[in-house]
Amino acid sequence: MELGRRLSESGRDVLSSVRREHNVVLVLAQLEISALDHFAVEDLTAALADLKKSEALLEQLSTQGQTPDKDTVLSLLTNLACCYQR
Amino acid sequence: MGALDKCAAYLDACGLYSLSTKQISPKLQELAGCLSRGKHLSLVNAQLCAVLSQLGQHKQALDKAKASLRLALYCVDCTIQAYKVINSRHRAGRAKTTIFDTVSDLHQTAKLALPMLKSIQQVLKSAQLPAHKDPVTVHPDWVYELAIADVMLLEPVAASELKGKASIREEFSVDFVLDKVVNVAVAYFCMATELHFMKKSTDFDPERDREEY
Repeated sequence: MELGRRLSESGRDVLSSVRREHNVVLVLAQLEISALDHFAVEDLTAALADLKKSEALLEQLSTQGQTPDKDTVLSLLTNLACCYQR
Repeated sequence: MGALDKCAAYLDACGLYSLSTKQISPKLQELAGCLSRGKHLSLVNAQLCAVLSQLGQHKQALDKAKASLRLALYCVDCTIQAYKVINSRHRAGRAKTTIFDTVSDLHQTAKLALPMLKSIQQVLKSAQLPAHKDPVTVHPDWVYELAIADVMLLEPVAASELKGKASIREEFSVDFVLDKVVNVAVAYFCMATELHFMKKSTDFDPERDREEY
């Protein structure tokens, strides 16, 4: 009974972790779209704000031991460099 | 830390996700991914070279220009490898009529790019320009309007663009093949510029830098 309860709790933990991860991916995608929209109208301050939020989210993921998607990180680093270049 | 330093730091961090140019995948899907990431990283390195040059760090800038050249040449090699894979599939597919049409269609597209790819390889090997009748000398209009600053300026990019979801077929189009040639030219331009700066300063070592110069 106790073992069943523990297994069920660990299953819930896994599920909530997957949901959290899925939410982070969605938030990152939305922030990327928003930053690119700001770039398109040359609003670099707003673009930088969105990119900094993404950077903080990815740093949080890394400190939790999760490996973020390579292309997401690469595009974020490139876009941050673009902001400081202009 | 100034804006240029921050820009350099972020561009430098992109290097953590660099590609190994020593091996070329035999799989078309992986080649498409390598090509899109390779082209992007080649431009990132060229841009980093320009930023470091502005910061007066010409030796480091030269290293980035060399990295840009390596990646640009890698992209040309990947395209040639893709042609070889398609060609071998085309030969193997003659017996299998169900997949023959698709493979044959792709093979025809790739075959059209072959003279240009061979010509580029020849130019890179011999460092001599091709004859006028060569297909590589027939350029589309955009090539004549292209300024080096347009190529060097890094544009914002979406993660999906780097995943190489686009078909490998696009890589054989005239514009895409010339784009790769442009990246090679930009990398050589960056190297030449940095060597020119270094020659004026004490960083230049005629023995060490003779080959590049």
